Amino acid sequence: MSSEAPREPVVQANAVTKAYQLGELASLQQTVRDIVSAILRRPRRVASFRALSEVSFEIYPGECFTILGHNGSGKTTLLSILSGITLPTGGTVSVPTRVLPLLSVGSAFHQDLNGHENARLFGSFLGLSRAEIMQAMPDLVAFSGLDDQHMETPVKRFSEGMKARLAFAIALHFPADLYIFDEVLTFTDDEFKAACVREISRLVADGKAVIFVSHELDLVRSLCQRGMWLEDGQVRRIGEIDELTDLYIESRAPMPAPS
Amino acid sequence: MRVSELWTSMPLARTLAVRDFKVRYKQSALGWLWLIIQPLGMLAAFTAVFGGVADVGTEGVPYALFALVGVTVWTFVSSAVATGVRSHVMNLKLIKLVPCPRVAFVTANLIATLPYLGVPLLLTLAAIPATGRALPVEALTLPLVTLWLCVLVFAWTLLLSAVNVRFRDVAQTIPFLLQSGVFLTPIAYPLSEAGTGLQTLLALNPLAGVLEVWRWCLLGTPPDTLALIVSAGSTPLVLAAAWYLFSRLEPRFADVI
Repeated sequence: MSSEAPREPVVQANAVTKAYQLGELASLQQTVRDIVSAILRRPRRVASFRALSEVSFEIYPGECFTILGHNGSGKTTLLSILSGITLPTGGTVSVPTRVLPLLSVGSAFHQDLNGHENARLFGSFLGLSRAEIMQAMPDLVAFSGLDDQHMETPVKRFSEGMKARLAFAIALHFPADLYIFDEVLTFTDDEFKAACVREISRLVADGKAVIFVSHELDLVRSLCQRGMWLEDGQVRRIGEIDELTDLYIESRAPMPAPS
Repeated sequence: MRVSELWTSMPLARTLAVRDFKVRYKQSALGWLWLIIQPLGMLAAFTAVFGGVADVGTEGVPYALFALVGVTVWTFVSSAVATGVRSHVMNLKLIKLVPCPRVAFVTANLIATLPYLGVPLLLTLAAIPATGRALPVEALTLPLVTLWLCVLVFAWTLLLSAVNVRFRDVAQTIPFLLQSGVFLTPIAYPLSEAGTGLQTLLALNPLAGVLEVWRWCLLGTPPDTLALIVSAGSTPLVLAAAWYLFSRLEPRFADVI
């Protein structure tokens, strides 16, 4: 059991709801339809989709938390909200000032810039000063395992594995209080994966909060202590990792054949 | 959006501007030479048409020099607006995947376009003594006038880029507006040359006043009063409207981009 002393949560979500408008956001067809609706004084029809409904949970410092759920369950939407990329339509979210989200492996890079330039650019996005960035660069480059020549090549010529290495190296060497990893270890080889797992464990031991999302349940079980099961935008369960993953696996198991 | 956010996002804006500028001339045989060729090309066209064909009077200033000042301002404004309106949609992936102050994209665009003002301005400052004229004392206001122009361009690109995220029509309209603007803005002619009714109409162009003030600053030609009032008055209004609209629209950028 975790310690009994009351801890302040570093992430707090209260009844978070997120609705999206579906279909084309603007089109000639839609404009004509809107004009007709306005003339006929009919209400405007908008196809909306509820990605998240009343999601509430807490994450404490020094904890690795996972979010389980199949595609379309609302995981990425929730992570976008926690990262500060978008706002919820309802409810409140409280996160620490320094959040480092790794929501995709290579897409946040500028393709024409090389490894060094992208790392520095990412540091700028996080609001780090030039001095802080330059200080972190040597260790960052060393951890990525990419040699000088590769770091000088535009990222558009990187393989998926190399982009993952660079992305992870960036995430693990720039300072933050909350780290979010969304499906980023898929393309890496076992050796790099093991190194990342070690580093994430070190972050957790240092008192940081980590949200680790992956379809590889073994990895999740070894890294995380607690987690949340999200289904169709709603919280199905929150609990200790072993119990949570067991229930999750059971629910996805095919029906047993009749004996 | 607080004013402080504009300030704290400056380092990021600078980094983005350097990135944008580097990428602009990649795989281009003439590279940054275009910064000189483009305005000079425009100047040659104007001199031939407005100076030669239409024989527009330019208050005692040699035509080419007169048009050069107009071309300097116009090259900057049209480049900044043409790329600025798409500041956010060009950075779609970043907006959706990395938390960042989106105003930095607009500021970065302005910074990356400054060479489009600087290079023609240097040409102008070299051309003035070359034509046997001296810089008027009004030239001391050049820093202020430059600041005014930058604020104006910032306000317009902030406004247009924010609306463009939701309605891409804005970016569609810009090329047409800029093409018309070449004629509807007193770049190649002074406002005083237009007939009374037309002069009033053209003075309502928010760019007309700042342009005439630039000519006053570098060549000493008096600016049209109405144009000056419209331009100077509209700048803070557009800035306020742009700030307000941007603050309202920015939180939902990732959802609608």
